[in-house]
Amino acid sequence: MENGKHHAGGEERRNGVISATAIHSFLSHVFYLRMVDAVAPSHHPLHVERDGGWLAGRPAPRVRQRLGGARSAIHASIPHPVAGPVNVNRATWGRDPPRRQRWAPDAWSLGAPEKKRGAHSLQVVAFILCCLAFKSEPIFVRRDEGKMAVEEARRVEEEEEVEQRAWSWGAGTDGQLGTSGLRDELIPQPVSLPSVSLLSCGGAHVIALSSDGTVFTWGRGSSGQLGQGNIVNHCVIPKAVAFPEGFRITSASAGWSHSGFVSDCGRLFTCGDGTFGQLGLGDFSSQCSPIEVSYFASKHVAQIACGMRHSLVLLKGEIQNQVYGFGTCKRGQIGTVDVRTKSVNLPLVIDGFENTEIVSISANGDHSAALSDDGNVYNWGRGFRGSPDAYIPGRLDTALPIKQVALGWNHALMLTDGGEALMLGEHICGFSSDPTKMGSVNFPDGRKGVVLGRVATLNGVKVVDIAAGSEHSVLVTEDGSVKTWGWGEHGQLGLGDSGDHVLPQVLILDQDVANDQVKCKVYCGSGFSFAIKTRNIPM
Amino acid sequence: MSYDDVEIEDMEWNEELQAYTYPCPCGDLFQITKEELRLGEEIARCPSCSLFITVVYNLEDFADGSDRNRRLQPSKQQTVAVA
Repeated sequence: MENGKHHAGGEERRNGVISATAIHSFLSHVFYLRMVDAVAPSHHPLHVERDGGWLAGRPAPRVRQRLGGARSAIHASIPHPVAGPVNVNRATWGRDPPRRQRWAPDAWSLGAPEKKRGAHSLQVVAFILCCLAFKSEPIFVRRDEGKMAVEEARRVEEEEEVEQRAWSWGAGTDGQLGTSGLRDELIPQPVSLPSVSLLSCGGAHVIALSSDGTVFTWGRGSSGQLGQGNIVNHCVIPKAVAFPEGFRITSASAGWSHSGFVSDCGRLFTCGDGTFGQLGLGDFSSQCSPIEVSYFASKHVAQIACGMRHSLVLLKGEIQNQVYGFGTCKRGQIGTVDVRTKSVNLPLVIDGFENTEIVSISANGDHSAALSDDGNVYNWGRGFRGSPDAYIPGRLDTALPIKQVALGWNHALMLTDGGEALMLGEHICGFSSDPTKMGSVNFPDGRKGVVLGRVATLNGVKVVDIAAGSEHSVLVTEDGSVKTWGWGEHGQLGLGDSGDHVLPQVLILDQDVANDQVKCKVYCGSGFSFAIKTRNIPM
Repeated sequence: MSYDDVEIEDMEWNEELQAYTYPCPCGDLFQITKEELRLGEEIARCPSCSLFITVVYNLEDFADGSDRNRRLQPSKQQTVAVA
């Protein structure tokens, strides 16, 4: 999406919003609260949740926060500590910056100077009166800036607030849904999260990076994968993870039972299950607090991807040795290793990317994948159904440039530059694209017979985001619709039952009338899913 | 249908569950006890869902109940370091 797209569309025309620009202008003077880092909103002089917000129907917890300086103003009505946003490195979205901007707006990576602040009781009263006067309707204002130059659009965006809503559904018996419960949820449940810039879902735990750089984890922590310094079987609400002073985490990945974190200066930390060497610390012990992987102390790590029992690391600024792996190697997950070796506890270079710049890596189950800057997908590790394991990265011959890859345990989703979703392999319940099947594809390295197809029933609507659970899939189309398909026994499709679906089904998150103004991202853990909708609100 | 075929050496011994385990795609663990293995059972089930896997192992390693299967127990369930 273009950066400016969020602003297009003219003024809001909701009932009860009269002369929205004027109201907004007024409110922008009375709205701001002073937000001290990590102070619970209940301590705020103003703690008002206005119902009937921008997403009608199921009200989800909402975080509104102003993009800007280190201590920006915030509107919050959530039960967790929230801190103001600062710069967030967007390298984790999986593309090199020049190309990434085109399809993954860097809406969170802004650092505009703060404007006004202050929380005076008079302002609070004015705000409440104003809400009453306008029937508590949301006051969201849009600016018509269709003709704005890109630079101007960006400047305006820097002065915006963002508002987020999050939902989770699926397997929840380890607290991984973040809903304070320990049960499966068959339909999307609103979740109170800090304003999130990145989410990563593992076997039964979740890592969230908040916009201010704080790392939160929740879910199963029986191997120390939550990094909270102790073993917890179930952590049902997000808790902050402590890192050594001076390290700001900008990227993270949750594996089956381990976790990896990358700092802005390129340092790597891991915690959780180390039984297979997947922490890369030189031994097979497990850790309940993030430990720096000293092997990379003199290198700059760009990304980590954690699979079931292995990890991949992508370095920044390296041409020869860009991708490393450690952990179990029995099925080729970390490339070619002596056949007698079952696992490796120190990083090893994965060969096969000469003359190619890798921009992102993925790992899930026993699969590994890398995406190059020219849109090629390389895949190694366990073979998808019908193909043997691969011990050398092989370029997948899709004939279409790919911009995003999501791996499951027996399938992979790929998003093309043109907004098509492709599927490699199949879910436990079958393949999704009979009507438009592209047939099996071969790898140049000789592997044959992997089933590749276009995801069906999209009717030409472009896809903007994809996510893969172990046996289910989620995508977002350009009109803001979320679709799920695959295995549904734990409600991970969010459709209200536990049935499987071969074809993508529309998931009801809300009755939002302005989906095209909202950016939706989806994330999948093994048997559960998250969706986060973010809306920019012009100041 | 069996979700997967898994060799016993790829399963982890879980002291708490007193069972060999392997990750299930639902987030829980496929489980099979030594007693079940001794009796020739080769299906490990997930307590949370309908899926099961087929365990590939040598019955002789478990048949007599001796410690011959000790070699199959990797040094798992190590203490997790608490910082």
